[in-house]
Amino acid sequence: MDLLAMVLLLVGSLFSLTAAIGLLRFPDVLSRLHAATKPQVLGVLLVVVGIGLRVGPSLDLGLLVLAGVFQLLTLPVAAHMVSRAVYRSDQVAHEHLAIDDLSAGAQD
Amino acid sequence: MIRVLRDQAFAWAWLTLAWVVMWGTVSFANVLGGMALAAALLVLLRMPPLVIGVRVRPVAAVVLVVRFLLDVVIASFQVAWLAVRPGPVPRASVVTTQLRSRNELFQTMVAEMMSLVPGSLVVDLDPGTGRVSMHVLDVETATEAEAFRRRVLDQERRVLAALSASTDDRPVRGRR
Repeated sequence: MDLLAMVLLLVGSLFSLTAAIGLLRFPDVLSRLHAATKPQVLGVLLVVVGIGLRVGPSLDLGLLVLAGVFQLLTLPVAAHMVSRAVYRSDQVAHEHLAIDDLSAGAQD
Repeated sequence: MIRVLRDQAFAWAWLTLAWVVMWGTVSFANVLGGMALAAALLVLLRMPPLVIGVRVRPVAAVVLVVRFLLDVVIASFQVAWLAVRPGPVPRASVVTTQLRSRNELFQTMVAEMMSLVPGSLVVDLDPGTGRVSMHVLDVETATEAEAFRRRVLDQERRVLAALSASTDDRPVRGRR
């Protein structure tokens, strides 16, 4: 059980590490947003499960579940708010976009 | 009316539970405080009824969840690899997809789930027209954009199959 918890924690942390690397390497705000928000999904879930295995059955387990659930519920919203703000304030680096349906179509 | 009351009662119980769990101990003070706070929240911050036209189909719901977790795992590796692989970083695209459903709950679920899968995030969603625009990593050609649109529509199909009360494929009318 401890070994499994260790593996989960380690793999989860590795995903977070790739997120940090992506944050540095990706060229524009929108791409960086991917790196800043997404690897957390699997990374955080793995870490939460890993901690859960270590903690064992207790009410703290509920707190971990809440942490995971709220992470999943809020992440897309946060990413969406930032990306929308970026797009509407025209901070998009268009040279990094191969196709852009939003500018191509009618925009209010 | 009974539906609304039931939904409210459920929200009340869930908020109270969340409160107690966050304090970490089950005591009278925590439970009563949570109940009072939850009631205050429900009264002060009234939310529009969201759960409309929902009927859970267990098998389709399991398919939805399992497929989603699978997508997350696969895409996590892909995006992690994009981040660390040597060479230039891939270009991305903003791809707009026309959703079938006009139900805001299902639109939100599709957008949220696509957002949680690494590699795509929502830039814009128009609930009136059902058009969702997503920023997608590593999509450069029209063919790849079309493949991504199919993924969004497949996701929507799974959401509707699992939760939509109307059985046919017609657009689901939600409250506007």
